[in-house]
Amino acid sequence: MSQIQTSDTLILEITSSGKVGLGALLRAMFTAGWYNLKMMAIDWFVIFTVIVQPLLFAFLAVFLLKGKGAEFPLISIVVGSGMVGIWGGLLFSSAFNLEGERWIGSLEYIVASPTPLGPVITAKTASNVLTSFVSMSACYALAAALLRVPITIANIPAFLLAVLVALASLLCFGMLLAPLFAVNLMMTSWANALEFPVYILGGFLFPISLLPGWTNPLSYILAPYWACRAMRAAATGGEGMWAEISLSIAVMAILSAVYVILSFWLFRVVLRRLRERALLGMQ
Amino acid sequence: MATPFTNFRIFWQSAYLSYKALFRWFSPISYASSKVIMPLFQLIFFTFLGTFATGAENAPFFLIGNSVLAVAINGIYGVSMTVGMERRQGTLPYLFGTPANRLFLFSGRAVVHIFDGMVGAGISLLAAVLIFRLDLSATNPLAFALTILITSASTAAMGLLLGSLSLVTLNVMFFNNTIYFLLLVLAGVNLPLEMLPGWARIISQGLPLTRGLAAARMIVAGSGLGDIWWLLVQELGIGAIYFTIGYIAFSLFEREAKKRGTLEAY
Amino acid sequence: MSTICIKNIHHTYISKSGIFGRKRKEVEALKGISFTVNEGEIFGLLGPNGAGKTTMVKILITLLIPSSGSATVLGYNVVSDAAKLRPLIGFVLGGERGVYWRLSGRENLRYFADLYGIPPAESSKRISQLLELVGLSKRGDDKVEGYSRGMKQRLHIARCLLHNPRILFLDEPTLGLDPVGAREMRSLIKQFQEEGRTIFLTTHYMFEADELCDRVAVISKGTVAALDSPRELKRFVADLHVIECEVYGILPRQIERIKTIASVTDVAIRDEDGTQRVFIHTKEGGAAMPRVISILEDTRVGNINLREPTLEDAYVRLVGGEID
Ligand SMILES: Nc1ncnc2c1ncn2[C@@H]1O[C@H](COP(=O)(O)OP(=O)(O)OP(=O)(O)O)[C@@H](O)[C@H]1O
Ligand SMILES: [Mg+2]
Repeated sequence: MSQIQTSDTLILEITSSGKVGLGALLRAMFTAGWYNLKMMAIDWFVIFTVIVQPLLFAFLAVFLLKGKGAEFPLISIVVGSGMVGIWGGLLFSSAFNLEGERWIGSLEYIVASPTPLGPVITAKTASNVLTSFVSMSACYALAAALLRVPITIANIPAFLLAVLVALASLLCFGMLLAPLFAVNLMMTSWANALEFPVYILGGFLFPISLLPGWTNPLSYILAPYWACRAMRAAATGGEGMWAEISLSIAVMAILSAVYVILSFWLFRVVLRRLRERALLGMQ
Repeated sequence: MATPFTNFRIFWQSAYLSYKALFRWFSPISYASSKVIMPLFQLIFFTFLGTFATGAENAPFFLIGNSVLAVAINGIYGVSMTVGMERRQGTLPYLFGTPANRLFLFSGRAVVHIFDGMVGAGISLLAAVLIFRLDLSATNPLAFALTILITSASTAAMGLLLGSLSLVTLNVMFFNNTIYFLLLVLAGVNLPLEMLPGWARIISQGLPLTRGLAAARMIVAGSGLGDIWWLLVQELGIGAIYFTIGYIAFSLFEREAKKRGTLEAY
Repeated sequence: MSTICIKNIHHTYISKSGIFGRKRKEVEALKGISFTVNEGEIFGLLGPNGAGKTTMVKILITLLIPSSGSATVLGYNVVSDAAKLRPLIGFVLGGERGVYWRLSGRENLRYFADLYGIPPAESSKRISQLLELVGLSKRGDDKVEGYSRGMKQRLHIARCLLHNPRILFLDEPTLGLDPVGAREMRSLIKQFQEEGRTIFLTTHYMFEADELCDRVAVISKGTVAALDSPRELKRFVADLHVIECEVYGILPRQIERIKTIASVTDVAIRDEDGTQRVFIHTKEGGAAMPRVISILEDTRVGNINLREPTLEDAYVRLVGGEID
């Protein structure tokens, strides 16, 4: 029989409401994101959405669009097919992260802990999106070097700013998607259905002016649309660049705030529903 | 002992089971989402992309290409998932414990998806006509249906090959996705074969769908069976090759999986 | 003082099936459960499969909202004060699910230590301590993938202790463990009690409940059939003797005939691969034995004996012949 005592005094970093404090929350999010990366590195499905699919898309887009010349320069194609990859990663990780926990059986343990579920899932999604971004950038840089096609970015600081804001607002969009997917437990196929509509409405590889006018408002409420616009403006430069970037960033900020507020509300509703219907675990 | 009659029964039982699995997995809502909404938006996306890139007059090229591609959703994903799902549900060991004829067991799984794939192509084509006013007035419907049937069968043969992979790897979705996207890019769906670099054209010749799609395009342009029969024979031939490889792989992997005990592992 | 207080809990599961989810199926899992659990005791919840044990546990650990009734744990309402209650309780839902296979045991614990807001300065030490407690120190840095079922279950035990909870909820903690593993698990559970924790456990094994529990509630078909200490429950069958026999292929007809013997009160059967074990409760000691033997004449019988009743027999009587 072991003589190890398990009842040492232990003071948890927990506020009076029963939730973890801010420092502990950030730590938990970091661990969640980091371990998610560790587990993901061996997931082939992720490798597909992050590398194979965007590269095939880029191949297709380059071959189709190379005739457009200055109207749709190479960097626009890179940004557009990059957005295809990031959206794929964001969509599938928002859809699967929560469902994955349910599959593993860990969702119940997480929900019962003093760390709220939303930030944990968001941290995981963030690590997914960040990997798609990094690995895709690396792929394009490599492809450009191998094929000796220069990928020129007109204004590098502006581009970095645009990328940063774009990633942040995409992540907020992901925060909204995760509980939405949890409302319906057949989310796998809904994720499939949502993939292409955003490629279309986001204007990634062709302008949305080609679409019927009534769809434009839908584009305007999607962060991916503005993210693509901001990055494209910074990459191609030109006269109205800063106006375009500031407009996109401003809209992304507003949209992100709305997404986050909705996300908090939805997470609460969904968790309550899952608790009422005994859907946190798998039967 | 297996008589022709029991083999026949195994074939249909296997077909029935995969059909049931299909509908349990895909409830009506999710069936609509992966079989109607997904292909529909894919069609819209590539048609807009294609006409933006190459001009509005080329819309039929993208519409026909993506409609015919719809058979691959069943052929690739549907067929290979029926095997994968059995593995996940742990029914594979029971199946392999039986002396049932593997050839019939194997091909029975594909048959429902061949027809369901035709339905999928039909839905996409209907959308192409309704939304983009695709002109099918010169099309011989029977020849077209036969072409779709053969193309659906040859992609399902590819699906069987992928399905047998799921006996030895848990990452079959990765292969499914990759093959599906290769079809999208290299089988003449969205890029005319002439535009492809030499190495890519070689790959495209080895894929199912390439010739069936070429035949479908000719039929829409007004050709009859007499002009395209050779393409269909070739498409069937490709399908037969994949079926044979798939069947051999299935038998090999079955033995391998039994040895390694990976049938139940998930 | 009562740590857990359950008042008239009902729970009905509603599941939808069929095309477009039209078919509604309702399962009334709990039909008015009330009892209290005292501080520092090991309380056992027994009952056949589907009796509602897991449902009760999930309600108490705030993961399931009951259809009606109320429950408090440590004075907190499990529905309205869930957030405040959660850091104070620990639980294991049984089996090997719920740990990340692609992470090591230590990483699994680190993750949950962070989720529970354990200060980083403390957590490494605590994790090592707990790994040692459950005998996983040497395998702590291996991926959980390679763990046996028992190792995963012990990892769960370490996980549920991380934040030093005052109450532990253990749903079938020894399910699937080998006899040695199960014994180790029981001695750990006793240790947790000695350290001042209250323990609420469910089990199918009567000897386990007998050995561990201060008090036991037997639930059957969603209601409490009995609640007392194992000793008192045994007294409930004190007037009985049990004829236990091992048979190969008993017929339903024969069971019916045994039941017609005047002194027989209950007959229960348990399948043990290939053979069945028949438990016959009788009021007049060995007197029924010859009749039983004559009924079983044409059947192969292994051994047959007469013994004093155990907690299991009390249980059989309470739940009416259902053994799983
Ligand atoms: N999520 C669910 N949806 C629908 N019905 C459920 C659900 N969970 C449990 N049930 C039903 O509720 C009843 C009680 O189940 P519960 O799991 O609480 O029993 P249990 O006593 O833990 O059984 P076991 O000994 O098998 O673990 C059963 O009839 C079961 O089928
Ligand atoms: Mg249970």
